[in-house]
Amino acid sequence: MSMEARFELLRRLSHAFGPSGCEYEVKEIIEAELAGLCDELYTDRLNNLIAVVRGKGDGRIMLSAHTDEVGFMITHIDDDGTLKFDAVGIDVRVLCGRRVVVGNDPKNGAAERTRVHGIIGAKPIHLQKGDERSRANKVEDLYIDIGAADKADAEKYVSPGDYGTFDTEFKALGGGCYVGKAIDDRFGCAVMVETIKRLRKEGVTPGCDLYFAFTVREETGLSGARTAAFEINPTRAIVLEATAVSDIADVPDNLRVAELGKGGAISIMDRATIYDTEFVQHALEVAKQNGIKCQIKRYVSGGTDAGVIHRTREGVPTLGISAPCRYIHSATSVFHGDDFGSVCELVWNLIV
Amino acid sequence: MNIDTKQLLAALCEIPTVSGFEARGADALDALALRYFDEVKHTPVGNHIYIKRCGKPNAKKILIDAHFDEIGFLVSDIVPAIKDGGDDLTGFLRFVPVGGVDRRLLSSAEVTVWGKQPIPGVITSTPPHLQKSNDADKLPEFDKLFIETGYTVRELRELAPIGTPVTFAPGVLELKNGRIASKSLDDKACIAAIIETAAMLEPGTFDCDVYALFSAMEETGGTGAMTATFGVQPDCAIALDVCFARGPETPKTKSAAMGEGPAISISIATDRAFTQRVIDFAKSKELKLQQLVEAKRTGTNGDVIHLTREGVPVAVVSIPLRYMHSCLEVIDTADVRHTAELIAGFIREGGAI
Repeated sequence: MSMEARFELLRRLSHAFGPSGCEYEVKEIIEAELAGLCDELYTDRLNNLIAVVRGKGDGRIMLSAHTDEVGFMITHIDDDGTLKFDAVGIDVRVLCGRRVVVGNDPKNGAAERTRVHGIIGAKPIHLQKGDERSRANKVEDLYIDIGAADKADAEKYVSPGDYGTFDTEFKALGGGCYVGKAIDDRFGCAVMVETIKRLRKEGVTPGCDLYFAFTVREETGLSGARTAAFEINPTRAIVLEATAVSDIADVPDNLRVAELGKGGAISIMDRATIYDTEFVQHALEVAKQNGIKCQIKRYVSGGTDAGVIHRTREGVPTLGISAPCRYIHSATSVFHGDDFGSVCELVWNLIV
Repeated sequence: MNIDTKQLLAALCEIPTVSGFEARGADALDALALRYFDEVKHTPVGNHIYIKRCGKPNAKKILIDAHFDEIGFLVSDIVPAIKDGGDDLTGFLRFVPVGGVDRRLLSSAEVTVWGKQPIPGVITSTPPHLQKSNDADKLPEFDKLFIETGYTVRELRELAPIGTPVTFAPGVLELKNGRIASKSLDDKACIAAIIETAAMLEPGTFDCDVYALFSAMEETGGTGAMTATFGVQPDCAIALDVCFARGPETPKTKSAAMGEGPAISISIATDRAFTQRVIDFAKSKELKLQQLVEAKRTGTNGDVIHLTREGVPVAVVSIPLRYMHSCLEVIDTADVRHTAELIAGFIREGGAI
């Protein structure tokens, strides 16, 4: 398969509009991909999409990837037609000058699905005074410009409470790397879709029932995974993610976390979870036996849906596998194409 | 002759012209502009001078200037992902700014490295997960930022050696009300206005020779305009540039409204009588023209053109633009057309003195 074809789905998922709380477009793409391939495919009360593939034996493995991405919410429309906003999960220093899309969905009570292009404005350098040139912005100082003439004009397209995301074209860089927005966690979503397709293509019946949960609102507090895990009541869980790494120039070894191109990063511990020791050892063993690249995440940072899944009901042994990803939570996250294959292969060998 | 302004702007903004590299854009510019002129001269410092003759003997010369260069960066070093890690590791490009680049825009910005081939890249940043508690208040210095392209050190030495120019990624974004956002609309918006001016000037309808100067190195001090004006020896000149458009964070006294036509500078640094002629002409034809008072200097090529040789009567006309020197500057495309109509009309009415 050509590189382009291999990442066609991830490209579409990366482009999709899916800030926390408005993930409908992402879900629609996944639903269309999985139509006719699952034993059950349903949307639960919080808007998680659950795809079920029945297996031979007892037990239920929950595989989880979140559909939402970091983004914005419009808080106010100014008299001059620019939009004030709050950012969710984003370092304010990566906002200035970026392209964004603002919109909402009928499922959230809006009259229609809206998508409006804009940019995050910046005071021209010529007009900056004193230490403004060397000081980071505060989110209160920033605004989105959609080209509206004034407040009344802007109100034709946008309402306070609308959502926003970055607007970045997914594309290949050199050395097998790719750049795009929302790689966290459309990467995990794409791995799950590929896994279901492969199960059907190869006619493989897994050892136990598999519940693929495409969860909502991870970035704002792991909400979707919390209720999904309760409903599914899994015996084990595998959380598929993209994790922040910084294996770049000028970063000391102890802060690099993991390396692009060296396979999925398996978490021992992060800020929300101590992962199941035996499950971790098992995954490392399976990777070794099958010659699949993987690495241990060498830093305690961030948190994933595992944070709520592993403490669901009486508790669930949980594993976390993440794509190493540079500049995560920015408009331009970078990952390595080979890691997609490595993570898919490891997941496959853990479930069949 | 009808020109699609948005298409022309997209094509112009696509040409990489970091100050000092304007000569490389000659063929691309010729392809867009030459058909509307009679001759072109590409000068040693990277100026492109397109001439439209009126066909009359001893005709006066009017110089219409817009600068072709844009702010950007130069590659200053190629650094491996791990210090002393060797040439087969991923390489990261250190870079230095050319012209007034705002550091607040850089983290996570998309750029194009104009090496042996155009190479897409992104500027590095530290994800929030890996920051210390007060990191978000600090703006990284240039020496803490890199461009990532995915290529190894060895490949980059070949593809993008030290000195390679870099710009923000090209691409035009359409906003509401005919407004567009792109890199380098400062001053490609005015290049477009001049090309449209030339397209409007039918042979036999004007009495002076028009010298369209697409000048080099404005962002780094006006070298292009200085030398080209010396060579052309015009009888008068109009410098076209961009001014701050009214919007958030721009004081009313220093800005002009978008969509209301260009703004003419009222300044000690320009020729007040010549400026008044342009204003009077606009009034007589009911053309949109705003006024912007800039007492001491205009900060445009007008300041240098005015003081060339014995001095040149000069007026400065500017298209309002938001977010100047950012990766996504915004203009109203109607203002490009308003500007072209003003300049073409002024030339036809015998504006040259």
